[in-house]
Amino acid sequence: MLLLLLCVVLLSLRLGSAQMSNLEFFCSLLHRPGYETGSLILYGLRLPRSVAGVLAGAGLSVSGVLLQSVTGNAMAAPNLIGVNAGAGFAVVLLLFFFPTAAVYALPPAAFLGAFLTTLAIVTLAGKLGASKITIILAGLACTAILNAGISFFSLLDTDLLDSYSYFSSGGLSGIRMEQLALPALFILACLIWSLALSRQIDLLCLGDSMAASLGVRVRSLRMACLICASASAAAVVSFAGLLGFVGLIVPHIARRLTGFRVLPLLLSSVLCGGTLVVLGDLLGRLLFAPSELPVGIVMAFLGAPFFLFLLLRRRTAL
Amino acid sequence: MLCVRDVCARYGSRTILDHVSFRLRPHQLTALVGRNGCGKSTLVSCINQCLPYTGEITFSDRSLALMTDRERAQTIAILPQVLPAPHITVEELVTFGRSPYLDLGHRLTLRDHQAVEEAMERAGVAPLRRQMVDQLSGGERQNACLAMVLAQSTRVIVLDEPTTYMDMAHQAAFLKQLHTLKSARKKTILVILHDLNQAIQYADELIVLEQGKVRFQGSAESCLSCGILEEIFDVRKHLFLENGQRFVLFSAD
Repeated sequence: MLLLLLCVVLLSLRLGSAQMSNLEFFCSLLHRPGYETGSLILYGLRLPRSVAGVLAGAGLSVSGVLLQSVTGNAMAAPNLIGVNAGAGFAVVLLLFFFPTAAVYALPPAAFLGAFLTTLAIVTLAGKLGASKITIILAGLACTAILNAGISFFSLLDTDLLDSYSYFSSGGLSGIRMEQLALPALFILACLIWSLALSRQIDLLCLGDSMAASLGVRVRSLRMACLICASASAAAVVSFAGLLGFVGLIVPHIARRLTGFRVLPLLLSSVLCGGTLVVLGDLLGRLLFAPSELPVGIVMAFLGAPFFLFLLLRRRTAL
Repeated sequence: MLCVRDVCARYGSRTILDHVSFRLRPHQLTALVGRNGCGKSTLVSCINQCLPYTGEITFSDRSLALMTDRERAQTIAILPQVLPAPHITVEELVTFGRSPYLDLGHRLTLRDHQAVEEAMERAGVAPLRRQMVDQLSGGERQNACLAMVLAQSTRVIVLDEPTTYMDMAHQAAFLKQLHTLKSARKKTILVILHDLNQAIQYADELIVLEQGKVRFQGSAESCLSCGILEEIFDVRKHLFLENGQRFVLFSAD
């Protein structure tokens, strides 16, 4: 799987709207004199995009695995805990009140919006007992309120919709390496934290009472996982916008490859998610070149049919 | 030993457990019986520290509420009434029983492997080790769960209606297994049972719960003679002898 990810990353570096031969590609990759333009394209444009793709896939997949495990819901994804609605609302507020500051302030605003919304949902669910169903219901309620807020501000200022639509469809174009350092740290920390909790998360599949009897502090574990899932997804939203479906479909693909245990599932989801987003971004760049299709739209094209497939399969199983 | 002292629990304004007190006798199989809704499963949830309660539940004079989660899981194993069937192998499920003993690296030691192996042998699920739990029959699954609880290596085991999804043959085999465990492995077992005939046949002691209160605690023999079961469950007792052995049968009117 790691090999596949490396191949896809290499392919993503090699292919793009600026054509270059194999010789040009390798010389540019090795910073040979005379290939400065190629090096600039590779290291300044394509590499940050590929790294962003890997990080986005990894972050959203970690979030998806955690959410599906702690809610026991195969359809759980970061938007369930208000990540998308929270980030979207924060960005709309920013665009409405401080349109000139949007370029610099958008990533932190998106991160804070997503993270604070999840904290609100987690607190609300905690007060209601932190059961699987209260988390889902609290998430749905908060998401509905925030979506109403987004619609309200969009009605007040219709120009706002143009700026918001790129963020909401999710994309990786124009990303710089320095933008990725902080989100990468967050995603890595969340991954390490999740790996450390993986054994306890495994026990949740036996139900809350059995897990408690085996020494798991169920409520605290569920809260810790929600916060971790939120931080990881919020970090992705801060640089890639609202990338849908990755957090939902990748854990399902990874589960088929490595089974249900959380530790191998997390690792395979990271690799699988990275591969899928980089591949989606590559397709978005190549399909209508020189125009670009944001990776979020490509993922929705791929993800929505898969989501329907899941629903249909569940119905058959029932 | 496990001691429940003056425990009260409520759901909203409804009192479920009303000053419940009893003490389990070491290395004995105690059956907890009572009509539906009398508070049996609530009591298990209190022992599992999953529900708030007043009063005290102690083991060897140490309050369970003050123990760490890990310490408590090394002292009492609890098998709830309903357990989901996860998509993992029987061996993985039994290995989960060793969770309270694992370090941060989650590595199983030789001792853990031995405990898992022994638990699977004892519960008779060693031949099923590679099978998926969600593909087992109700009886096999319950045996796999018993193996997990045994792998937990605790002195006290609490089982909430463990024979619910079993046919009669599996129920008898399961209860005989518990009987063997308490003497051969020196386990103290509290088991919630609905079937009064089984409770009388296999338990050394009975605790009878009625509307959240303990109405009786004592030997199966004295429980039979005092007539409390007929009064509470509204049943009739039939005694008969076969091959010199005495059998008791309860029937509903």
